[in-house]
Amino acid sequence: MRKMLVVLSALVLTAGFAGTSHAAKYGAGGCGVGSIIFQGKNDKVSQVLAATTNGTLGNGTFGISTGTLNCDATGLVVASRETEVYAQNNFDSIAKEMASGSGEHVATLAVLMGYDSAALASYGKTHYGQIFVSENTTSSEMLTAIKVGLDS
Amino acid sequence: MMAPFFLSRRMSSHKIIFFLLFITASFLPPPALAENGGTYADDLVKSAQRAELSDDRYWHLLMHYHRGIIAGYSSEIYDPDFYKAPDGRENPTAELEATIRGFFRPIEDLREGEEHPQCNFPARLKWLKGRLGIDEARLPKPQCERLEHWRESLGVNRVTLVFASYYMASPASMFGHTLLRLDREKAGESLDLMSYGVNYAANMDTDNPVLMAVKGMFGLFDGVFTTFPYYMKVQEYGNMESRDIWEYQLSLNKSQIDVLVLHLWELGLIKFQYYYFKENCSYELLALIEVGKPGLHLTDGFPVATVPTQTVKALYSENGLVEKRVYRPSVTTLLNARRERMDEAQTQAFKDLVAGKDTHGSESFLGLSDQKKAEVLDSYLDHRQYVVMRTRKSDGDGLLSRSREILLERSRLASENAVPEPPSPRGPEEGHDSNKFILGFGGNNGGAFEDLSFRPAYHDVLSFGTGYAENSQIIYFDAAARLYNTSGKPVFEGMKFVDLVSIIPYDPLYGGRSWQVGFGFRNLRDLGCEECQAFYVNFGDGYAARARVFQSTVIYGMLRFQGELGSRFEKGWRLGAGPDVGALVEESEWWKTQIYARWLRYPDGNVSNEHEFGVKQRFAITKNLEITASVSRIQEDNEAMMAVGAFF
Repeated sequence: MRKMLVVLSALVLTAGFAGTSHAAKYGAGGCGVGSIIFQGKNDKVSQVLAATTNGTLGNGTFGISTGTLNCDATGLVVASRETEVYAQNNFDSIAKEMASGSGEHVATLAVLMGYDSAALASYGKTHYGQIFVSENTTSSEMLTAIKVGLDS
Repeated sequence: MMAPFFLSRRMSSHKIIFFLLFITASFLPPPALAENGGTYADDLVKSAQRAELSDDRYWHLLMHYHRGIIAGYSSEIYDPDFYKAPDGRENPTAELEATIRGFFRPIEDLREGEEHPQCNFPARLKWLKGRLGIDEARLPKPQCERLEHWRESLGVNRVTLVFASYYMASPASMFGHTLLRLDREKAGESLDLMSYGVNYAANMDTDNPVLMAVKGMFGLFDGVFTTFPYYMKVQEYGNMESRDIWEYQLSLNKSQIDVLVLHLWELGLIKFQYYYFKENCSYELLALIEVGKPGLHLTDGFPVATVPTQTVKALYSENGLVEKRVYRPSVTTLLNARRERMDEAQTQAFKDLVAGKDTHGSESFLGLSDQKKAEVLDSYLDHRQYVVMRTRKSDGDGLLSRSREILLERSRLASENAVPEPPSPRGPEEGHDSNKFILGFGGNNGGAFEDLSFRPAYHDVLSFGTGYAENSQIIYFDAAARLYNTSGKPVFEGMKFVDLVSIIPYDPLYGGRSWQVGFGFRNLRDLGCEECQAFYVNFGDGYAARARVFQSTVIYGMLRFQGELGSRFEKGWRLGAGPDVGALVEESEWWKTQIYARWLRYPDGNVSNEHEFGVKQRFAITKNLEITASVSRIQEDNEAMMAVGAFF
């Protein structure tokens, strides 16, 4: 009983004022921030322990110097990889918005790739099957297909 | 200290050597002599002393100094890499001196890979240049490549404070969360998603909830600033946790933004002491904004605790600081708005798809017009995205791999994605304040009484609901006392350390449980004792439903467990369980009613029954002033009360 009280009190007290994080592993995309949030957080325990919220999803700290894919010496996404990292991390939103014909994620992609956003949205909708060829199409295959289609 | 603190942590083992080298170096004869025989740096130190710069508020802001409880100063930052003087954390004067001298360090003294202090502390340099009129020609001119690259890549043209709303499913997020966004634009188009977010959070190194609580309360966690692309947070909050986001664009000018960014650089990998209640995510962001625009006094209003919503209000208390507010609804908020607009056939088609039928298998879907089909598919894809985000198993597992056919079908329907406007979003700054004081008058079998209570946080189920999560309750440290007129003796009614309730109507699509948890001290009125205190812990779990016709009514039912410790009990404790049911009716923003009944059976410890039922009405006069009227029956005792509650 006493133990339960302690645990419960602790749980409730940790409710504090938000802003907790977990030492997260480096991920594949974007300065370690990439893959972490996509690992399916249906784990009840970690939710209660606040592990999943407000976290610094990884190590996007400015001081990180080397060794992280896609990450430069100041903890920002390497400029030349920015579009790829963006596409990878927002793939679902882009796929959804392209099907319906508009949205902020597609507009942002257009700016990154240097296209007019209406042109990209309309091309995406009319050539959907060519851009997303199969269930296994990846974000980089999507980018290639868009470039091939719009630059030719 | 001279350690290159922006290099990787692996380098830090050399810090001591660097430090010793620096100490040695600082005793070497200085190169540039001033006319009076001392160095130029000596002259500057003297003018800084004359101008009493180390007592300047801005120096304290830059160094995060706070006045000590008894005397002197101490900085929240304990990381030695942040200081140039060995006693810099407690000694603003010594630190200022060492900082000035550090800026004159000859470039040829730097070791391979080491950065010059001018590159490490650019905000300090900028301020001192301005205050002391430092002659640029006499300063060493190091190449700060990383800093320049960083500033250029960030390309900040505006600063925005972001508030992510409450997430009752997780204790750490019940108060919401704030972060800063450094806005970018490219070719005149704003790139909010591609902007960098700045987060301040505790670096939790334990999973143990007891340790988490203790360390968080006493500042034993490291707090660190981190940056990440803002789209990560939109995916996390908006798409996975269904939290609405509010963005407050601030009216800082170019040079203010520049200083803010330079100071952020100084804080890079620096470790703070993280405190849950005060020096938390919200507080440090306000401190950062103050460095950018020192005319603001944002942190002064938070002597004890900083709640994220209150920090948003602090921004609004400064005239013209918030330029524009942008509401970014979560994917489920949008989906719910879409669902409400659907007609019956669409709703049926949507249900069919969710149940796993394909579009050809749903007769309701096939009968719809193209426009209506598009609406159903857009809703279904929102729903799928939400589900996928929460159940994703691997990198290749996503919306495309699970729903390509539907996506393809949607792309063939010409109609535009009509994003519905969710019902009048009200921001957290429009809600009531955090502290509450209540004065009540009432009577029961013991006669007439006056009731007094106070709590520092935060919101109860009946409070003015604007800006808060619906039918939620977050109460901390609520103390109450009562004075019976006949006896004239004040009675301590109890202290709720914590009292949390979340009543969420069950949704066939997403489920949704209702729960309550709390602990504290209370009077055992059910045992006929007005002054017998017991320590209690309660926990409840159940379901709620929104009434079909009266949409403003939510009915709930929970099974409540209660454990109590007290000398009044035969065995010193009792343990019980029973139903806790009721209804919450929000007639309007200004009027809310709760009808409730609780029954607890204690089969062990002190065999007894406890029951209470009643009705409470709350009328808001303003968002911070309310009148509550209640009648209740506790065991055999009837009670009626009127109370005035003020938030501040």
